[in-house]
Amino acid sequence: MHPNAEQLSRCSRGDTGAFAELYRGTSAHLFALALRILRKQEWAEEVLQEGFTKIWRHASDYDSIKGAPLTWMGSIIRNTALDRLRRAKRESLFDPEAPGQALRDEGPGPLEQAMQNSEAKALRGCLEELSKEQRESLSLAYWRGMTHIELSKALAKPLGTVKTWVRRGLDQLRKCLER
Amino acid sequence: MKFHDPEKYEILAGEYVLGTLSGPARRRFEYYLGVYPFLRRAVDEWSARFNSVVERLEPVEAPPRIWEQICEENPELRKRFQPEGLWSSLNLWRPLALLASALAVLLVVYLNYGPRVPETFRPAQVAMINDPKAQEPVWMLGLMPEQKMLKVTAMHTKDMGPDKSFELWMLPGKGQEPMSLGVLPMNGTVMMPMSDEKMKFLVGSSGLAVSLEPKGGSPTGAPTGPVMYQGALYSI
Repeated sequence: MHPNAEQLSRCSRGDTGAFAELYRGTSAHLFALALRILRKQEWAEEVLQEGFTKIWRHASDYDSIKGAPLTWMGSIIRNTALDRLRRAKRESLFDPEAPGQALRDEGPGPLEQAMQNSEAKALRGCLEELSKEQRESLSLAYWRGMTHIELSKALAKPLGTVKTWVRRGLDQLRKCLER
Repeated sequence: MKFHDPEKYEILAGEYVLGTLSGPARRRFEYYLGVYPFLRRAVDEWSARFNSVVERLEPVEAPPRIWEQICEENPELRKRFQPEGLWSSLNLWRPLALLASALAVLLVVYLNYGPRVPETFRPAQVAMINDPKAQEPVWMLGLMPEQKMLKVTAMHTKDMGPDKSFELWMLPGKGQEPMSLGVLPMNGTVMMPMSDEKMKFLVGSSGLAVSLEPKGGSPTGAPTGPVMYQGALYSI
């Protein structure tokens, strides 16, 4: 059993020492993920804290079917980070100084560059088979938490077009990964 | 119905994980997620595919305060890692106590053979608060029973930012709460008045600890931040 998986199973039985080990072993990777998505130290710290509290309380939900333990914890951190981003977007509606620009001030985060390990290698290869537009849409959605409408604004393309990019991209990706 | 066509539900599950599915469509999907196990499986698969990127990110060490805050929020963790965990970690500091006592001897030599001071201004007990990493003294303390004063001289203090203070605590002994002796100076020498009660405890005290606190000291009267340094009083 993967050591992190064993720690998670001990956490689900209330073993606080296992949680401390798990935190020591994974927090730097998960903090990097939160920083990458949020690009703001303060938010990333909040999200790491909230995310680890969820991991502690829901450790029993982990199942190897959900991927490697770090991947599962990554999904908790990413979802918490996306919630934080959505809150920031809502708050910025009331802030005339921040009309949501921060969310598209940079080019797409290169999803594909981050993937070199065995598990992620296949995904990387398959992403390369997509069209540039499909890849860019998936990447912006993954790293920036963009909805269809936001993608359409960020890429300056009609809503229907970006929806199609996302859906075809996902479809091809899955078929490629199942080959 | 879309959910019976694998071509379609796989894409919906992918969109759900990516986050592009929003509004009523997302809520509808979430409803069916609770109904059809195959949807849950598709979501788990997409999540495993995408989130495997985390393994390839360059790790970034999180600031220690995050761990403190996580413990603070969860009663089981707080119980295990904070009140006792923090203060009973004294045992780990044994080797340092040796260094501290060596320094205390030097201090005694200095106090006795250094500049002449009237008898009543001589401290009866001294302590060195050392930085274990840099192996240098951070504060030098002298307890003067006649004046009921603790004389504190800042030596190699490290600035932790404008909104932080270092607070000195006495550990009265087993099972007793740490007692604040006050906020430590960042430079120069100050005299910190000690109440009769504190004086009484200080004489029998088992140790001293310095915690990092919000500016001006702990708002609660108990240590809230991490223990940064430790030391002990020695009679001379």
